[in-house]
Amino acid sequence: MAQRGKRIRVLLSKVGVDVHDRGLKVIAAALRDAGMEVIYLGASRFQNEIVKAAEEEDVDVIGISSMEGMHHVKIPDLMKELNEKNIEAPVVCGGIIPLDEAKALKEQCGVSEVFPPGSSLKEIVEYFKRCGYE
Amino acid sequence: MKARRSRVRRAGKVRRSEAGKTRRVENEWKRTCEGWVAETRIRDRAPQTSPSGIPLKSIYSPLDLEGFNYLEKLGFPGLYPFTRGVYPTMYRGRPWTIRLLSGFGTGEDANERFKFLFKEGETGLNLALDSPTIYGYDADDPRMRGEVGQGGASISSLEAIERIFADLPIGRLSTSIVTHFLGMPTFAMYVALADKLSIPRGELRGTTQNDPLWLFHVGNPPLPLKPSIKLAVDLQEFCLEQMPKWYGINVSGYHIREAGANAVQEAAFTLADATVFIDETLRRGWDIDKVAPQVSFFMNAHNDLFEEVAKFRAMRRFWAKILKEKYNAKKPRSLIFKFHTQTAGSALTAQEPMNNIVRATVHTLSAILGGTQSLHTDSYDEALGLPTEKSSRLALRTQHILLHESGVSHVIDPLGGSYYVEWLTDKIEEEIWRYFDRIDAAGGMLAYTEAGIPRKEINKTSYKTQLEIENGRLPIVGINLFRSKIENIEICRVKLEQENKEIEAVRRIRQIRDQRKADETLQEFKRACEKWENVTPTAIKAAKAYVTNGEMYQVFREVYGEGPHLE
Repeated sequence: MAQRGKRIRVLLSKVGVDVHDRGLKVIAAALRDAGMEVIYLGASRFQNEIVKAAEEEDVDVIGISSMEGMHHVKIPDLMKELNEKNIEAPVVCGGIIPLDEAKALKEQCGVSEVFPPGSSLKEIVEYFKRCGYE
Repeated sequence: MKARRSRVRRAGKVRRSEAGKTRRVENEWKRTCEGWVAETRIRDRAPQTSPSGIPLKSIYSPLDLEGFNYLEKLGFPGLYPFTRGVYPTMYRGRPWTIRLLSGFGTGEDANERFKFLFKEGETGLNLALDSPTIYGYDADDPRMRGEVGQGGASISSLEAIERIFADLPIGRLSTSIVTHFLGMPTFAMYVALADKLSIPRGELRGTTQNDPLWLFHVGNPPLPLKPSIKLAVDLQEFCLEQMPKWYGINVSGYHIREAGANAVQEAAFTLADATVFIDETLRRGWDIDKVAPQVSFFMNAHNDLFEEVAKFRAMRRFWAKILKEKYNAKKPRSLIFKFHTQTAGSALTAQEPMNNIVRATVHTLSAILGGTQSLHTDSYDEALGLPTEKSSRLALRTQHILLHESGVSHVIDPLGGSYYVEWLTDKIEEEIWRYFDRIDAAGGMLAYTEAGIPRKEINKTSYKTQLEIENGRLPIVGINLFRSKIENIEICRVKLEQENKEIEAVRRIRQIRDQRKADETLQEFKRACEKWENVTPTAIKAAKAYVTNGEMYQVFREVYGEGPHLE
C-alpha cells in the first residue's frame, strides 16, 4: 500500500510460458505514463518467480495477463501461494478471460478485478491507482 | 536509326505535353475541391497518413509516377524483379495453398481436426504447437499445468507426432510446422516419423518456421541469441543436404506485426532477419544459389487493404534486388520472395465476433492481391478462444469463395498499374531501404537486435496504436465506433482431461522406451551441442529413441544457457 503522494509500485507479469504480452506491455507503458513504477516481469515467468518478485519488491498492486486459457489453473494456484505468503497486494487480471471464468476468479480466488478485452486504458489506470492507495 | 530517334523524341514530347495537360486538369480539380468544400461544408476527414505513417494524398495520378519505368519496376510475373508475382502463371496455374493453422488438445484432437479440414477442402497441413512445446518443456512438467494443448498441439515425443499425423499421407502432403522458436526437436521427430514409415527424406515437402529471431524482437526467447541462430541454421543446412523440398527456415514477420509493429517495420525487420540466416549459412561455406531458394517467409495481412498489398509487392521487389545485387545470386529461384500469409489475429475483436468474418475476408483478399503462396484465414472466434469446427470451416469457405467466385485469382497482380498502389509500393520499398541503411550502419541485423532497437520501436508503435484506438483516431467498429458488449458464443476450450491424456502419454513413453538407448542418444546429442557441430543428425537419432522435447531442450539450456529476459 502506497502513501498518498508516493509512487505506486506495480508488478506486471504473465504466468507460465504463454508469450502473448502485447497487452501487458501497453498496460506497463500506460501505468508509467500515469507516474507509477512498474516492475515488468513479462512473458515466460513461473509462479515462484512472480511470488519472489512480489515479496522482494514490496509492490502495491500485481497485474497478471492471460491469453491462452491457462488462467483457470495458473491464476488460482498463484493466488493460493500469494495468500500463503501473506502478500496482500491486490491482484488485477486482464486478457482473454471468458466472463464466467472472470467471475470465478473474483469470487472464489480473491482476484480483485478482471479487465476483459476492450477495457479502456483510462479505467485500468484509474483502478490501479485506487488499488495502490487503498 | 535516325527515323527511330525522331520517333522517340516525338513520343517524349507527347508525354511531356500530356503531363502538362494532366497537371492543368489536376489544378482544375483542386479548385473544384475548394469550391465544393466551401459550398457543401463537407470537409476532408480522411487520415493524413497510412497506418505505417506514410503521408497520403487524396488521389494519385500519372503525375505521381513520373519516370516510372515499367520493366524496371514491375516486369512480368516469374521474371525479375518479380513485383507482379514469383511464378509465371501464378494462381491461373495453381491456386495458393489453403492451409489453416490447427492443433490443440490431444494428439488425437489435432489429428481429427486435420482430417476434418481436409475433407472440407484444405490443401496443406499447418500445425500449431502449444507454448510448453515451443519453450521446450514436456507435458508432464508440473510448471506447465494448465498450458498443455492450449494454443496448439503438445509434442513431448515422437509418440505425440505419431498420433497427430496418424493416417495422413505425409509423403504426399505439404506440412508446415509453426514451431515459433527453433524447429529442432519437433522437426527431428517429424523426420524420425518419415524414416519409420519408409518415406524418403528427399520426398518430404513442407516448412519449419525455425526462426528464433522474432522472439528477440517481441516476446521472450528461451535461449541466448547466438546459439539460437546456430541451431536454426543447423536445421537449414540439414535440409540443404538431404531435404530439397523442405523450407528449413521460414522467416516470420507475422509475430512482429501481431506484437504491434506497423507494415513497414514488419517488412523491414523480417527481410533483415532473413539476411542473418543467409549470412550464417554462407559463412558455413554454402553457395548463395543453393541457400536462397530454400528460404521462405511468413507474413501478416492486416486491416489497410492497399498498404498490405503494397507491402507484399515491395518485399518481393526488395528481396530480388538485394539477393541479386548484394549476394550476387544468379539463379532466378534464388531471387524470389515466397511467403505464407496469416490474417491478423490482433485485428480481430472479442466484441461482436461475427464482424471478424468481414475483417478476415478483407485480410484474406489483401494476401491474394499481394500474391501469397499459401494462406491461413483466422476464424471469427480468434479473439475469444480456439477455432471450432464451425468457425474454421467458415474460414476455409472465405478462401473458397474468394478463389472460385470473386474472380480475383483470374488475372495476375490485378492492382498492378494502379497509380496509388504503385506509388505506395515504391514508398514502402524506399522505407525498407532506409531501414537497411540504418541496420548496416549499426553493424548488421545481429548487432541491431542485440541493441534491442527493433524491440523498442515495436513497443512504441504498439502503444501508439492503442492510444489511437482509445482516443478514437483509429476507428475499430464495435470498440470505439458503434461500441457494444462481448456476446457469448460457442468457444472451443481445452479441458484438463485432454491435458491429462498428454501427461499420461509422455509418462508412459518414459516407462516403456529403451532407456539405455535414450540415454546414449541424448549424450551423443549433447556432445554435438557442446562441440557446436550440426546437431540435426543426433537430434533425429534421439527422437527415434523417444527422447523428449523437454530433454533435448534441457541440454540446450545446460550447454548454451537460458535466454535473456527482455522488455
